[in-house]
Amino acid sequence: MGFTKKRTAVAALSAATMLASVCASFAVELTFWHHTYPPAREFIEKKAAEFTAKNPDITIKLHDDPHGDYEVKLLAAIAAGNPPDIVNVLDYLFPQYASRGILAEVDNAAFGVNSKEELEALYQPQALSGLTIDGKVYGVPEEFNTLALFINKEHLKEIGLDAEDEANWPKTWNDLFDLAAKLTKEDGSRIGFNWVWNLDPYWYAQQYWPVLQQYGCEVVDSEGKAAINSDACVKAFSETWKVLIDKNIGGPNMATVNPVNALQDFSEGRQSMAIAGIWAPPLFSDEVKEQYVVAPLPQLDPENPKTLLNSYALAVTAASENKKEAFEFLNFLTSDSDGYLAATGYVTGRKGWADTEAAKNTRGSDIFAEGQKHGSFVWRSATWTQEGNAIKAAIEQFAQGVPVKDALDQAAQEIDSVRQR
Amino acid sequence: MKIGKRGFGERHIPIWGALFALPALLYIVLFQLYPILFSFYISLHDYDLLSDPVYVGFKHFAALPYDRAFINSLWITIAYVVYTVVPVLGLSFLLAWALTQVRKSRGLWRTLLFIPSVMPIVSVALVWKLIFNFNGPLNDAVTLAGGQAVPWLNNSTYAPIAIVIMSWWHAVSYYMIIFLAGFLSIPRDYYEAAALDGARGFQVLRYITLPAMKPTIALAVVLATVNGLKTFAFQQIVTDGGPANATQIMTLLIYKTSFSYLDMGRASAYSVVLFGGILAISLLQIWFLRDRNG
Repeated sequence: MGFTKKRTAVAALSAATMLASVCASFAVELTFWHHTYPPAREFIEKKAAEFTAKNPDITIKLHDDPHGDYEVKLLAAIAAGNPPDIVNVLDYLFPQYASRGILAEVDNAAFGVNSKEELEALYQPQALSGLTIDGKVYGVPEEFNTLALFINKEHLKEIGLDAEDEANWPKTWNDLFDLAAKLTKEDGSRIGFNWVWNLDPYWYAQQYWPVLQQYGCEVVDSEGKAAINSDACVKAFSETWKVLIDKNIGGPNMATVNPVNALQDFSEGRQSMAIAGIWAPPLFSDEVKEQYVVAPLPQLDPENPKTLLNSYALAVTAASENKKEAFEFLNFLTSDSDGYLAATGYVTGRKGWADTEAAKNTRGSDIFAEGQKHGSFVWRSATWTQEGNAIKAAIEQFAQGVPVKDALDQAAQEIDSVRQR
Repeated sequence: MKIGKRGFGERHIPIWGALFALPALLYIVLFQLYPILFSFYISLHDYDLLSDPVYVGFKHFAALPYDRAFINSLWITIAYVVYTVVPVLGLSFLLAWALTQVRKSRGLWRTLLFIPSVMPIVSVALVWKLIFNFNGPLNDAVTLAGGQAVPWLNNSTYAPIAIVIMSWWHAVSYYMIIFLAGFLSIPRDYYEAAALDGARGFQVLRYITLPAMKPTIALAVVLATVNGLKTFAFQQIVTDGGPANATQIMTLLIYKTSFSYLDMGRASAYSVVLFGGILAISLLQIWFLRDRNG
């Protein structure tokens, strides 16, 4: 009898083990790598738990690293043949990654649509264009951004201007520099406006790209040759970036450089105006959070506005064995536009984001929504990083007195040399 | 030479000794020798980390004389080595000598002066970055003293100077310990004999201390030069090679070319050249020491 009981127990245990093994074979763990941004981590973890509750066989393991380290670590994992399932990639890297077969084409079915056109219809116009290579969509935006002008209204008040009154917003670059000169304090305790300095080349590009577009400057011409030293480009940089330095009201010498908070001077009330995205306010000090207004990006021709589009996007790696589940999770995650914006400040680019409750509670959301309509992504290139670095070096050179044309000539040579390799 | 039990063969390395050496040997082969050889192999290929390497012969080496980024980094690296090695060794030598003269609390002084060397370089770099910030404490002091704030990290002239200053601070105590060991190894008899012969002050330094310290000085010069050529952290953390590539030393160029530009072939060619330079200096060290001992 005792022997029979023991045999029954062993058989039951074996059956349970087999059942567990079978169940485990159906279980999927999606690895998801993201750049470090604590609000995003919290939100993704919350959505991952909701997704797992609906799909008990699928769990999501999130890992994050600071921007910069993150990209290097990701490349190392891909090179080692062990990439995560889901990755967070800046839009300018898409040509490089897609051309090397790192990313999987978006699975339309996972987004409940049957074609690329139907997928695009889920998003704001152009939201997917920066993630589309040779007609194939390789990712969806987690952030679909444009930039606008943030103004500290207390600083304007000190010079007798009401920042809430749109008539006082600088419409052109010249308006901006004139206002900046009035706001700048001679003792160096405050600057009116400054560009970003000594950060990575993409930071620079986000600020000069709309300027170049407004002046009709192309980084590379239609034949693939560098055009950054063209007359239009020299004029664009001379009349915008260089002006601050020539007037001694901005430039690298006055900037606090902080890769973690590129807007540190504005954030701490030492700068009156800054160009930034909808994601910026969480970086501001409590005092500045109460004092800012958002105005449209200044233009060369305000009747014909041109802005920037950029996207920190989400994609599934080509090597993932769980692409279907990964894309289904991305659809689940990014379709919550309201939740994303409220929790993280990210605009997912889904249609109708500007009408959500979170958007209505976000200062300047109407300005950003309008800006998205006039934007374009930075130039596409498989060697973007080298090219961006060459332009960054040129800007840093003319900021120190090298003639703009000479600095851009050097950048053009470098870009051509990189493209010929 | 044979490996085996004592009593077999002409010269023997005890088998236990060989076994104890094996882990270190494996480490050297796997993590030092293999990467060096693989780096040379990759320098003869186009390789982007993600596709198979394509053999291109000496293309990357042939392009080096026309590679502006490489030439720029080479000069910056040489200048960095020159501006760090001489002052660092001079200061270290003086500090070590001063320590030999200290009578009270000698251990405390040694410990205090050695602290910069044992601090993690990343932390040191971040602290110096804050100090040299345009709105940082150094400029506060400069303006308090009536001067104008200096754009230490945003200007191509000042940024290399700032990097050199922080390198001095971090390296001086390390070489100070080496020199201190050298000073303490000089037999007292030499000084007593010199004193009997009437030698004083500078004569003692010129005819006793410096000749006796020659091997130590040679070692320190070579170590400082090699470490200078391999330096990376300050330039990467504090300026990331900027502004306008003014602090882009060779190791940083190699890093960016590899992991940002995905051009492993070219980066490996840079590495081989840098390795050749370091190897030449190391051989010089051996030659110096052999000359002295021989």
